[in-house]
Amino acid sequence: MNSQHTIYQKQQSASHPAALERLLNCYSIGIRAAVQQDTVKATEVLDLLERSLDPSADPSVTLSLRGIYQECREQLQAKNWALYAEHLERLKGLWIAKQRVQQSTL
Amino acid sequence: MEYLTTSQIADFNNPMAFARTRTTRVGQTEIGSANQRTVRTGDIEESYRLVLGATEKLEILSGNLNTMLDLTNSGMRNLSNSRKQEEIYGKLRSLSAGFDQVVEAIRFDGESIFTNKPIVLTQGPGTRDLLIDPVSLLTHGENSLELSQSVAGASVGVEYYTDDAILNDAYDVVGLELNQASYLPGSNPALELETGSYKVAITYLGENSSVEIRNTEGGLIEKKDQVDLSGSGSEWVDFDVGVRLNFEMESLFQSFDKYDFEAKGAAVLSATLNYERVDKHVLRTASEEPAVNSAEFVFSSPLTIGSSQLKVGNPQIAPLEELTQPLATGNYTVEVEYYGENSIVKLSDELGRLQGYQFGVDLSQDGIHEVNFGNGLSFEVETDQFNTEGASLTTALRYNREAQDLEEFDFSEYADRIREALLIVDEQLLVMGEAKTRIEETNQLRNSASTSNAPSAAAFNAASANLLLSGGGGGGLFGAISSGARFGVLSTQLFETTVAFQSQANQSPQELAQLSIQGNAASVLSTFA
Repeated sequence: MNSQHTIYQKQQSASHPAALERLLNCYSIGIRAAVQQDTVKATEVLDLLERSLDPSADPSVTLSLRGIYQECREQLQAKNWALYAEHLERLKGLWIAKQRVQQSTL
Repeated sequence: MEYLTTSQIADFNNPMAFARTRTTRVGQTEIGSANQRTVRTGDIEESYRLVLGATEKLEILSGNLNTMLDLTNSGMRNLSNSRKQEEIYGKLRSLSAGFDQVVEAIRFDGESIFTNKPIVLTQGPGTRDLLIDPVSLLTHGENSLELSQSVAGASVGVEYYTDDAILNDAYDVVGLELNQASYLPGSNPALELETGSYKVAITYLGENSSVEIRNTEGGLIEKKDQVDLSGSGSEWVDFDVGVRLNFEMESLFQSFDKYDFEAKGAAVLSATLNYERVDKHVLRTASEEPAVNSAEFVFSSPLTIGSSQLKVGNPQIAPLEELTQPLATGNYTVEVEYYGENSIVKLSDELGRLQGYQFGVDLSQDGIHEVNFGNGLSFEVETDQFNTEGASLTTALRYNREAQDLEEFDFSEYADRIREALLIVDEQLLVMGEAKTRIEETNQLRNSASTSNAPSAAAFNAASANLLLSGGGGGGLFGAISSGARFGVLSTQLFETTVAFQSQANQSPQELAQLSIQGNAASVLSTFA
């Protein structure tokens, strides 16, 4: 019962516009870290993004996102800041698009 | 017709596939084409052979049109299946081009007979000649079946022959390649190159280079000065003769760029340009002319802070980079985030999805900076004393891309045109049938005993429909498995599921706050100090 309540709370918070705002912010911090070539911050952003993945919501989406984050880590190790930032920017754009489509169909 | 592979579909739909050789300049009418000479047979036997042969070929053409009609009907049934539509469209391109080849191959005495030329069928002494006025059965052109269009173009390519290699080896230029040439529509037709080989002479002087097109005897045809071949990226040079050259550049050395022209003088490089005038075989049903490529900023107000300014301008249609998806027609947002030499330029579609990205654009110096996304759009960012880190300029852009022919193709309307063409071919069959009867009657009257020896039909120089392809790289659609593919998969998944946000948007405010605060100031200082 308790765990169900936690999941419910989690889903409630995820569907809230503020949760999306935080996610977009997270990407922005990562992109800013790339501009500043701040490896520590860029890694922390990836850590947080991976940590906050919830496979129980949609395993396939989670798997795809994890794959992209893995690629981001590889770019980070190769100091390829441009691709690291582009990946995050692309993800950010997809979430914005998802939200806009969702809003227009409501 | 069998199923086509993905590579074959790409080949069949390559705009240059089924192109016909063109002998005249763009827009010029072929001399004599309006006044073609009459086809005249020598005697009754020749007349009979012509009629029988023409009838046989008209039946082939009728069968070809019926196959095209079946395909068109199949296209109408598969409106939601884009791959199937591309396959059917490719087959229709192939069959219509084959149709023209059959029509042009129906010849008598070297003259094609179904291209608007009158035919006089001689029946011998004492009998009136039969006059037939066949219509043009070509799929393109005036008074034709109007199943295709003939659009002037050119096949242009760059090659390096031995003479070029010898000249180029004399200079150790590294990181400069003329790798592509293309036809530039809309240029001055009076200056159009004739079909043949030309020399491209590149005088490399960094940002003050020049590029010339010369004939093989060395005579100058056109020269472009002040071509910037310095640095890395792509540079294209447009010539009034209707040719666009594309240079790929990479700056590898610290001390000089590609070649030390300041110490050694200019490097003069050579390449061979092959130009062939062609008429493209186009299938489209839209009545209006295809939309032209264009790009314009809807708002172009500069970002002004004090006396400093950041602005965008001069949007252009740029060549596509290899394996890059062309930008679709639509409205876009351009965002320039200023971080000095690490600035970012983004291009997003109406939904917010990223369509172009340039990271590390150096906007630290005053002046004009070119941004080319490689997806068919380039523009300039101009800075004037601008140095506000973190400032961003957002503006809107309208982009029109010339529609692919398939996008302007209506299967239902095309089916109507094929039915009309079938009526015309059937009419021609009736005319030929009547002529055959008349010749047989004349022959019977002349010699009633010899009707069983009627002239046999076997005299036409008609080649079978050649459906082989010309051109087409055939690189295939699945050439590159890249992160682009990953994003494609993710995009589909995100838009299909209703719980996408729950998969990822779970960052707590505390976690995010920690991320925002930690080490920001220090890293800013360490980077920009």
